[in-house]
Amino acid sequence: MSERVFFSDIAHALRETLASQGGAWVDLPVLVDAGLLLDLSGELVRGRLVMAAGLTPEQALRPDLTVPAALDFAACPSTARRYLLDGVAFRAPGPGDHRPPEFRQIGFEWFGDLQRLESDIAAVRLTLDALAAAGAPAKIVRFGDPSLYHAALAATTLSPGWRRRFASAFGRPQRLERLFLEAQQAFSPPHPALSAALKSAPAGASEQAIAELFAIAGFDLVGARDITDIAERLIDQGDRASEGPLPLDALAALKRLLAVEGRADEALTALERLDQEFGLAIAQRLMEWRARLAVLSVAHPGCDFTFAPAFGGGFAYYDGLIFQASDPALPEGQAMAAGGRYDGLIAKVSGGKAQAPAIGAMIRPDRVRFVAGARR
Amino acid sequence: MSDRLVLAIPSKGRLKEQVESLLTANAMKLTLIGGERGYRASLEGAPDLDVQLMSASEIALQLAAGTIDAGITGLDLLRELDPSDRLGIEVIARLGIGRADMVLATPQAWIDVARIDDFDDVCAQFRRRHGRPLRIATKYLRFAGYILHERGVSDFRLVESLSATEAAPAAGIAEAIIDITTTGATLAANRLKTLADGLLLRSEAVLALAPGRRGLAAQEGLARIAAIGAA
Repeated sequence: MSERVFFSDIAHALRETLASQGGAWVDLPVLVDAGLLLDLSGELVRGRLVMAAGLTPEQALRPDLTVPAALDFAACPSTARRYLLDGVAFRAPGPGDHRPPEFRQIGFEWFGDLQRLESDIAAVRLTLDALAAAGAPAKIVRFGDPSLYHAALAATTLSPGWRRRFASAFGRPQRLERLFLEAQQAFSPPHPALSAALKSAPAGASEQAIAELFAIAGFDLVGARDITDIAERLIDQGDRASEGPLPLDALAALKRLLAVEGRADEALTALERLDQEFGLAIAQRLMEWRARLAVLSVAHPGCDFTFAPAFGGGFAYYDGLIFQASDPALPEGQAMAAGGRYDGLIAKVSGGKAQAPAIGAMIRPDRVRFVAGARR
Repeated sequence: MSDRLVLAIPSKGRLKEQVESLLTANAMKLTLIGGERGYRASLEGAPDLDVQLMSASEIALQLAAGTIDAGITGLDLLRELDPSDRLGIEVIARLGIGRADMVLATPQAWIDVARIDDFDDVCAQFRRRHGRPLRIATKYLRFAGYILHERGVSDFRLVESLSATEAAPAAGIAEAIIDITTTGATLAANRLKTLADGLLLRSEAVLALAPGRRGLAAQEGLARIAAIGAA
């Protein structure tokens, strides 16, 4: 009997530890606007959402506690607040997946804390402390940071159009691969003469000309995409064709940056070399990563820390540090805890009305119990 | 129970007629049990099969659940149920009937858009200029989300459309559509075009086995039907 690991003990240890850094336990709505969730994470999550039938606009049972917390904060963003969260979340299992659709999360979200580096370190450390207190200290912690890619991209001499394309392809390896190929090929616009004519046309005349063209061709412009949208892209396509050769060095550097993956200290060394060679403007960020890892490896010497700039590319709203704490006893792809920084989230959930730095993490007590049980 | 297998075939619509005439043409005449309104049948040359009639989408569901051994249904319906092919439903023959292409189609007026990568650029542009995601109307919510992600398109919103999907852009409820088309005539009539690489799935009627029933493919009745597809 003494070997049994009680769920209540795990939950208690996690709650006690997380509360040690301040904050208040809050209850949050279970239903969330499904459109917002799809906006934040993309259509691919639709199959994972548990929809509440019969509601308009569509509502889903919360797939995590982060979005309800962000909505709560955005409704009254005046002062920095720390949320402590403990509740169920829902994710529909995919075909052939037999995991239960309901699970518990215990975690925290800190909004409005301006000391980003310090709170990054404190948040990861708190999460690892909580896992250790619950009898399942993390063996593996994976870090990622999409801001390295975006910073390096911004430092290139690529045109705004190319930068936008490369920025939106982050986390989509196949799209990125095609972009890298495209960037090396000469571009022939679909309507070169039209693109050139529109380029030199005075404001408003482009739209007029396209409208006439559509009338001749018998095209109806249906849906909400308008003539200005089409004119803008036609001009873009002309610009793209007349652009000089792309800075292939810079592109190669971006590609190499995304491929870096491994033990954290080695990965950072590789990135520092890339930065020196290509001038990626990420030196300051890399120094900050050294600082984070220095503190964390002293606090949790039993942990293997790995780092990859592209890690977590699929988690849509993270825009800085991302981390996942795991254990070899867990099935591939499952973590005991996951979290990170999403400074853009408050703006996204409030339609731009509010802004605040945000960092947080969620722990899965069921997985912590599994790992704690496996350790005994 | 004996070794008899349950095969489900479509109970209504054009697909039912096509399946019946294909079977009849291959000396496998279907005889309804209990008259014209019956939902069970026997199949000539396949004494080991209990044939049940149900709707094509029900067949896909029952295959997934394993309550029937085999079924003839549309590949589009199977992929919608299980986009990334995780369940282990096994397609053992394409039957060459009920052919239709699932395509991504945009207004013809989008003269700046020829390929799916253009479409992805347009999604990003639409978000930037209109402050909301571009909408795609479809009956295939699950498969559409999956396949567009596979093709590298992100930042769009799917809008469920239960009928007349091709009219959704004109009705102002979507900017583009993903739908099944056979000739493209309906698309053209609605001022829509397909993209050069916008073919997302070649669908047709298929003979499929429920998960874990692969061994049944060799059984007499199923083997005879599969041979029609191979011919």
